[in-house]
Amino acid sequence: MNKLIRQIFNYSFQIMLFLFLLILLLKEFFPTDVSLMININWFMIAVIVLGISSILFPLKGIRQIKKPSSWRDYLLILFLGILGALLIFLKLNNLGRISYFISILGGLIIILLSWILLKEKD
Amino acid sequence: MGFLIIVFMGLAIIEIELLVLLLLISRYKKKKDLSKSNRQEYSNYEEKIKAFAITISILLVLVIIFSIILFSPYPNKVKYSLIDVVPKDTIGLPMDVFYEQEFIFTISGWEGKLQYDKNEDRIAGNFQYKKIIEDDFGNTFLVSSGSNKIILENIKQKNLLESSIGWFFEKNIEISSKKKFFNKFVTVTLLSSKSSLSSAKYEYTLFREKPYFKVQFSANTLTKDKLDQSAYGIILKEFDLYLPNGTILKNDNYITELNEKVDIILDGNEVPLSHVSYLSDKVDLNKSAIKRQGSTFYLEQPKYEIFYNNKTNQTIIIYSPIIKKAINSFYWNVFWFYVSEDNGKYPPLYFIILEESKLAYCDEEWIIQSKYYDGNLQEYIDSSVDKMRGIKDE
Repeated sequence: MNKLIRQIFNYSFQIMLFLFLLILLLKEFFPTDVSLMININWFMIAVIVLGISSILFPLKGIRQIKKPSSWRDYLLILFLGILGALLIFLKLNNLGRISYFISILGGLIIILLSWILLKEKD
Repeated sequence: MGFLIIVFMGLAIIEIELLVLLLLISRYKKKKDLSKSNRQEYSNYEEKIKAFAITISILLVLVIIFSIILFSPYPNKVKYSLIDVVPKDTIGLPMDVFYEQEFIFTISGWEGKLQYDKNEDRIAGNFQYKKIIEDDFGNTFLVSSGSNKIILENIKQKNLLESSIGWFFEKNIEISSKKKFFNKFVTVTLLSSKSSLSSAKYEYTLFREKPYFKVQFSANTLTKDKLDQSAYGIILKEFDLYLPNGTILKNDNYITELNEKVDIILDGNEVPLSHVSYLSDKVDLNKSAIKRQGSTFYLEQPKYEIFYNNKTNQTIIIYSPIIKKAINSFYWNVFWFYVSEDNGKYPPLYFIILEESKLAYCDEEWIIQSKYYDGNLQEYIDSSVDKMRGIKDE
């Protein structure tokens, strides 16, 4: 039972964090619609509570088996980098020419960090 | 927004289905692997625990998210959609109406009227609607400012109670709101009046993503037989008035600043500014006079009234089952709708707001083209009112 509760906290936190980041992203582009649908502050409190719970009750005895990286992983990194750059550009395009520079740099940072994570050894 | 919630729920269901599918696939694959590796890594029991934990986690997340959506209040700056009402417990009880976050008009407690014990007065008044000032010699004056005159009354000659107006005052106003899945309810309660009226209420019912809402006024008193008609007072600027018989009344409200100073009346007599110049630091005696113009129209039992703004193409339809009379004052840009009392309750006033609208009068009927509806206006009023009628805050 103890293990089950730990797993529930852990999975709930992961799902909530993913949804929170997604809603935060949507809020940047549709601020009124998202604010009318959900109160982001209360959402954040729920994520924090679940985050604390998953730290206090961590999963034990689970070891991730590292798979060798494939071309699909590199393609995903490239896609996420381009998507990130595009989102940054959409948000900052009113700044003028500098928005191109910031968005390209942002995209490169996403690709670079993901690359480092992928290549990281245990 | 309802559409978004449905999409959101749909996504959540798809998510659950995908996870179940993934679990089944992984289980099938692992079964294959397990047969090869003699069940070295995973037991069947652990698999079940994991699947159960994921299912419970998804359910928990859904419960949390829907609780936040349903029960958490909106941030103050964000308004309910499409229409929201924001009452303020300040002088005159303004209840501002917003459409898609934009202010449109005010339902005013100050302009609302109530006939009680054969007297008519404002619903939400002010205990001190005239300003009280004191000069350096210990004299106290009541001050009331008009568009072209300032009246000063020495308080020694007047009763201080004359400075109060209305049945209820701004100090005893309670505002509460409640949200359900498809509705928002706002209640404004006015307490302890200067007479035997014990309380009065404005109850608003708003509809999620619908271009209409209703408000109902009620008054409580131990002697209900003394209650008579009440009037909803609406402050609506820059709108023309279209009547059910096809008549169009153009808004002729016009305010001009005159090239002269306001008249000063002291205890009923006009006096020069120099006579009361010692009060200049307490009240603005040097302000310019303005001239206000505008027509007023009295209508007996109109079926409804249509207000149209030709700059924004916005149409506001105001309807009540039995409007006793309507006073339409372009002079003040205030519109009063008188209704009769029934056991302390007054018939609701229904509002329909249509944007991107055009009106045409054909065959003795109004035809409307708008973002949400094209066709006969009377039919649209009937169907909208039917939808609003049954909804109550329980």
